[in-house]
Amino acid sequence: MERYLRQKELVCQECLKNSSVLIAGVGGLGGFSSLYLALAGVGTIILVDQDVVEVSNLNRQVLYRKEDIGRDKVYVAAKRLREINPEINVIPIKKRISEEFDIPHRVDVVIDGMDNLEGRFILQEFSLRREIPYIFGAVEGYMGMVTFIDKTTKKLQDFFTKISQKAPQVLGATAGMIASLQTLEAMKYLSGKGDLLRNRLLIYDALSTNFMEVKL
Amino acid sequence: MKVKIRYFGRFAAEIGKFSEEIEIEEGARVKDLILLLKEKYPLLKNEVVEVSIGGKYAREDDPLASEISVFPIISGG
Repeated sequence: MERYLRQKELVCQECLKNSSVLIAGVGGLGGFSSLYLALAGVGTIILVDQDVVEVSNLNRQVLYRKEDIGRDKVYVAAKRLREINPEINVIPIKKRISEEFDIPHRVDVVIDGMDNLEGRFILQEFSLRREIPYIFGAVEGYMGMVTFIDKTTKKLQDFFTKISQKAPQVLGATAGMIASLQTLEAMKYLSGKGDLLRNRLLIYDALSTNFMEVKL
Repeated sequence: MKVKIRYFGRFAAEIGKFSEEIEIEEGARVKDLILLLKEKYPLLKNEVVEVSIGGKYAREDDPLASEISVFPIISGG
């Protein structure tokens, strides 16, 4: 357990080890959160994505290299995460998050790494059906937002209109910032620590260097 | 009444400022302010404009306050 010596007073390591986290979308957000969950020793990380690595991903998606272009993201990501922490179980699933999305695995918490609102609403429904939390995160440009959704809280439809948007400009550092906040929410939840972002939408605007909390 | 508005994300970039003070009729509601902003800034015309007042998510019929924040829906990842 020496690997986790510097965090043993901060989290419930046994809880993390026995946990299963689903990361839907392994891009700018999901790649970063999966990296920190793997480092922290979350026992099972399930990665879901149907895309292949593209050259335009490389400005922000930390798990991929130039040699990975054209390869399936979930398999490349799983390989990297196992290299980073061989003690954990990584399950790659090449699948689209669509209306009929389901998997047979046990999941304790869902982390949003999607790049569209339609997928996020489907992911939220999946989580609510399973009665597990869904940690919403989204980024655009220098801005990002995060909140913690479960059966007791407001839902996406209470504060978001489901509209189609074109692929935005995204900085890797913005995605990393928001993914970090999502990961911390997951680790707190799994360890039974702290105050979660329930009914609180946290918005970060790096351009004006402002955090804003919106009570939902 | 005077309302100080803070703009977040792409709204600040599109408008070209992080904040401003505008004059709007007494008793105006959130939806009136959104209409005013869409007229003033055509780039916002097709946007869904979300508003926070006093740290709380505001709905269209909520009354305005002297300071508000305005932010967009975002969906990137």
